[in-house]
Amino acid sequence: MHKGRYKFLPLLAILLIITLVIFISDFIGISNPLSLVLDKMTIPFQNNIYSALHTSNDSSEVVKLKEENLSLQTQLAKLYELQKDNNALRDQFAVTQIPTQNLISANVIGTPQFIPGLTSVEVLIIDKGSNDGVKKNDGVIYKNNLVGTVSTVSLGRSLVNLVTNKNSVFTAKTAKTNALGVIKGQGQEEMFLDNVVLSDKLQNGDLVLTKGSIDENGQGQLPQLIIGKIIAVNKKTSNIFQSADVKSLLDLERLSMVFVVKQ
Amino acid sequence: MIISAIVLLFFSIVEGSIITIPICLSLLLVMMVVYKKYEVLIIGFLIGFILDSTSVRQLGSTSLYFLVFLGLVLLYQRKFEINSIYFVGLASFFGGLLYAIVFNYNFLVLQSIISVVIAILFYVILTKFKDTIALR
Repeated sequence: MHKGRYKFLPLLAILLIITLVIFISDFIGISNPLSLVLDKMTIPFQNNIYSALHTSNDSSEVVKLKEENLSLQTQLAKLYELQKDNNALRDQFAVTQIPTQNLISANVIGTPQFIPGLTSVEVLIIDKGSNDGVKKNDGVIYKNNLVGTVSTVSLGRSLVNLVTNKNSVFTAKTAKTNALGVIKGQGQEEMFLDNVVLSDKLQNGDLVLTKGSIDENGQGQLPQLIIGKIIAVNKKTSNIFQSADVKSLLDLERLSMVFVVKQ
Repeated sequence: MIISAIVLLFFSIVEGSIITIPICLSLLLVMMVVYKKYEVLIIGFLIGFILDSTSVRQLGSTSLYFLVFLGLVLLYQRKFEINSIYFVGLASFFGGLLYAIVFNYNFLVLQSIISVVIAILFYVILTKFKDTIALR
């Protein structure tokens, strides 16, 4: 190190050139065997480390009750839909039924940008990637609840932007009153239902569902997925729109398995 | 050095799985400051690819950052003494801050402060460890 000045420069230059070649080839989408090897090598370790360091503190009874609560909320959402189906004016609304062959089960193997006690989970890393048929913008669900959207895909992993993420914006409607609005992630596990006209009715405790935004290429959000529950309504007659605070029914920090909806 | 590299390998997977404080960057900086060996460049290069894979980033982006950062540290040590707790603290703060900006992290300052604490902790441990071996 001390023998000559800047002796490290040739090594640094060689390493930089190799890195740049790999970076550019990955950027322009050339299939990279290095990426495949790295994914195969690290996924089992990442899965084990995530499972070991991310176990739930809740007792089995609490976990069971939470699961039961989630299941009941899902049934409630379906009930609202059945009520709508019975209504002659709204019989065109269909109940969401995602065929199982369109679902890819994936383990959560990472929660980056998460500092326990300080920050909340905003993105998830799952152990399924383009090799398994996952594509960018695919929806990710758990028990008919929307978890988020796939934002980045590698060969063996994908990054999922959660519904609570600040970058998450999509159209939504309420289950009971059918009020239309735009749901915006606020970070810190919160969401905001905005742009709801004053003539629509927002109720505390009402479920918020995706409106659906599938385009001609089959890309976008499926309809009738549960986003969360309204916990507070903000309505002022002087404003053009009313809004509501929405909370996800899922414990997003403790999700260990999710399902990617193949378009 | 080998033990540090193994610890770094473990943290590269932890960093991609649980938390995203730039622990690997702090440890690489401390390794470069304490050992002053070119091998740290190669370790940074390899660890960068593992981090890219575990964090689903563009392959090569973290390696590129590590190499540029360590290269700057090496250039700096020609003119100044880098083997001090002040340098480790300052370099890990600015390195961590830029890392958080480049890779689009939230809580930039908080993450940088945590990375300073981690870097100083690593520095104290590695310096003592190195002294103990030298005494034997």
